[in-house]
Amino acid sequence: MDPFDRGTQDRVLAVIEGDRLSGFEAFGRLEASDRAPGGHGFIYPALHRLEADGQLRAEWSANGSGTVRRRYSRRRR
Amino acid sequence: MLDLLLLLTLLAIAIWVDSRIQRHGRGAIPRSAGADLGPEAHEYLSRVDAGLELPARDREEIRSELLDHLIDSVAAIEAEGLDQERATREALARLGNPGELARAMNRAHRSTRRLLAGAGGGVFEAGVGAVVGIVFGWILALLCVVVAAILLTTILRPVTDLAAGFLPAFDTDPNATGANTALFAGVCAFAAWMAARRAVRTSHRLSRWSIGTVGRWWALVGGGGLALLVVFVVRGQQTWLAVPVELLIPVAFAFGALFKAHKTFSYAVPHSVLAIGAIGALVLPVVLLMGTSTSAGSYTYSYDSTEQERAWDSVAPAWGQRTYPGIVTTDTGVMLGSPVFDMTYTVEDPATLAGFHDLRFETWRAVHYAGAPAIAQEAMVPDPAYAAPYVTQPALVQDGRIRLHLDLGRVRTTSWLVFLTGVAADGQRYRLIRPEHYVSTFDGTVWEWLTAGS
Repeated sequence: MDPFDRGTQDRVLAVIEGDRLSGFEAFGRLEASDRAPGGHGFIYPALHRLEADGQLRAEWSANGSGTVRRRYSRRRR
Repeated sequence: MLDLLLLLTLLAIAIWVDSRIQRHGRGAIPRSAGADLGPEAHEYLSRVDAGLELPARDREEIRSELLDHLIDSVAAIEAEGLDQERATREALARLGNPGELARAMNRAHRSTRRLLAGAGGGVFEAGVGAVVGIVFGWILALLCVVVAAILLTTILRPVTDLAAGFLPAFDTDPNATGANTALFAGVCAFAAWMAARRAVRTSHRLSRWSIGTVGRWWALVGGGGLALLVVFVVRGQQTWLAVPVELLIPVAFAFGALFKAHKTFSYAVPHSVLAIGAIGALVLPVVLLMGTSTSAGSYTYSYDSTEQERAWDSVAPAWGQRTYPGIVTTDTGVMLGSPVFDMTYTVEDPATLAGFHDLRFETWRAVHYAGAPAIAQEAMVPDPAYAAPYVTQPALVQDGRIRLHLDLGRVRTTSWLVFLTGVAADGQRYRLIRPEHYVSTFDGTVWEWLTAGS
């Protein structure tokens, strides 16, 4: 699936909405909702493009168990 | 003094703003500890990294993020019952082809928003680079001039004596000579080189386009724009020394944009350089004073001017005695280094002058009189390459004065001899005064200089 396709990006935004997720976690949510578009590799270009467009904010942060990951959240305008 | 203060203030502001920009978002990237996924995973990450055309920090971040992804993915697959080696292989297979992933990541980072930020940031950094380059360029140029002055007044003294007439004459008045234009253009070329390097680095960092692509665009747009500006817009006093140096400005910009723009210089100055600078600052004035004091009185010279006056006779023979009996005297002093001459002559002997008619000024291109030493800059004769004056103007006597207005700003020749001549009762044209030597300047653009007549 094309990570730069508007539909794909909308799906990625939808699973991140209201949360702070790493790429792996975001892919897991897409997979769980049966919307995972094939291989894992597509998720990072999609996330980075959304970040470059100013729709996502990325920061290195720990989750509840203390694991530090680069996590994405929706940017409020 | 005010200009210097303004420049230094601008420099301080530029460096401060620049350092803020450079620091922004430069936090450390966390690294996953204890993650040893084997050589296969690291080989995969290296292949992704090799395909990335992004700034170093982005590449580092992507590598860390993908490594984290692999750690999480391997752990999840291991939970399904596979051993680590097979789980790693499966996790890598799920990430896909490393080359394709790198290409997609390059594309992901190059958004229109970042392109605009890269262009804007690049323009700002070009401005910072220009200010920094002008300040450091002047320091460098002045250091070179001082070192050259010391050498030319001490160990290279014989060369100075021989070539005195041909050495460029710098002046404390910034508009005085074409040599100053050349010096300033050299400083600008240095500043353009620095500006281009900073612009390319910043545009690359903000836009995420590869440094080669960004460099080519800056060389084309910035270098081309500067070339148009330098050739057609910027006006100055042009000489054959200044014009090539001015043309170096866009070349230096393009060079800075295309070659090794990624390499940065530190503002930190090594202690050894500071020590050499301090010693130089103390010693140079002493050496300079010695150099100038020993030069006092050593530039005396003499020459036989017979041939020189014979060359003047090729224009017209002198009337009466060669000493000129004071028919007309110059009211105002000879002006040097101006494209326009406004001179006034006072008629001291109207009765004698009345014996001449068809009074006129003849302006001849002048060359140095070969029989005089090079240092004798007033020893000029009409250029034998020309059989006629560059311009003749009627000399009208009004209220006991004759006024001369000469505009020589659009011709490359800068050395002139102006003769006042008149026709006597015998029908012969004579020189009535000793010719005045004028030095003009060409004030215009590089294009006007290149297309001007000689």
